[in-house]
Amino acid sequence: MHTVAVDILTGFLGSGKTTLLRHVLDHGLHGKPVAVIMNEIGEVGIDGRVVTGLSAVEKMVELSSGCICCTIDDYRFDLAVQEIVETTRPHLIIIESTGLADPEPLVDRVKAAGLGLDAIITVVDALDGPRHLRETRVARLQIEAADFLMLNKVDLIDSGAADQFDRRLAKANPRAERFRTVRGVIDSDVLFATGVAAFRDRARRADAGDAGHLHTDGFASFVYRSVGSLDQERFERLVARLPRDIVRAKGIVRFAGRDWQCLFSVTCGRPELTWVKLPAVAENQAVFIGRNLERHEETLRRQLAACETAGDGPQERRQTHG
Amino acid sequence: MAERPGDGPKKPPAPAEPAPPDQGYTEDEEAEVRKRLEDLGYVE
Repeated sequence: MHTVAVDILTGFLGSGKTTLLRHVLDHGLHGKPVAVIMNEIGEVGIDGRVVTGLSAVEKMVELSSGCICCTIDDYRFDLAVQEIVETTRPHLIIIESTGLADPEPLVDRVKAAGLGLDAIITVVDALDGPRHLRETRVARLQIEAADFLMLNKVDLIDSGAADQFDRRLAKANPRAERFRTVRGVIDSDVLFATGVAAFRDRARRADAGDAGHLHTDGFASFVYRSVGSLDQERFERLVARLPRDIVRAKGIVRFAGRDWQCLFSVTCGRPELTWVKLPAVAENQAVFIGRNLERHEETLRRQLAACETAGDGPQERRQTHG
Repeated sequence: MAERPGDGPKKPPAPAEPAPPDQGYTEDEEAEVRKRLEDLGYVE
């Protein structure tokens, strides 16, 4: 089940989570079908109706009458996950939490269910967010847990107020990548797990000389490949200390002395590692996505080469776009 | 090269490698897992 990725969409009441989800499901997942778990405190799901029927949604499960981080028990959560995995075998599950959920216990639940946590996306109301932060603790917890912070409804405040709130968000969570949105409209592939393959594809096309792939969100990517095994300790140290500009890194590598390969995913500095056994994948492969790659690529390649154990013959392919 | 600010990323917990008796996937399962990992950007 660890090959099922989970993206958690959270944010305080009325911040625009469902609006953003609807936009992403309509425009942003490259036609890849996903499953959605909608959690609402009330007995009758309202938000679920907004995404039901969208072609990108292969399966939608509503968890109502309780909060997914506390009052919904493990049995109901695991049952929902099991139903989704067994009936639709999705590659990605998006969980939209209630506006009052603390993301951290939900993260624990996702991991305990054997799923791979990809990203925590927190939507923040640009107009009412400062008040939410003053009045509730959970609004701060949602911001602090985020990999991606979406400052939504920025059209309702002036640019000075947006800048001021943005600085406050950066202070509360310096690790997160921040975006500004209006009505949840976001044109970027970095948010959800299924978008990473698009960056791989762009890197490949760049390598083939296709200049038509340039992305407007300012992110670029490069691919690292090598044969042989890597030193685990050095590699873990490398991925735990990636530059701030690298928002995502993902791949499969083989460590010296290990029979199984390591699947790694780093989202805004938060690494996740798990194991897989795929004899058909003979080489190490990784994609690095971020800003200002011209400043970082050479150093990262040098550091990756330093992870390669003696006697291995690295076969790297340089691919950059942006 | 500036590193990510803040408390700094936690070192990933060293995941336990599966026990030796588990021989991994069947051929069909491996093909499906490979496709999943392609769609999620881990491999190409």
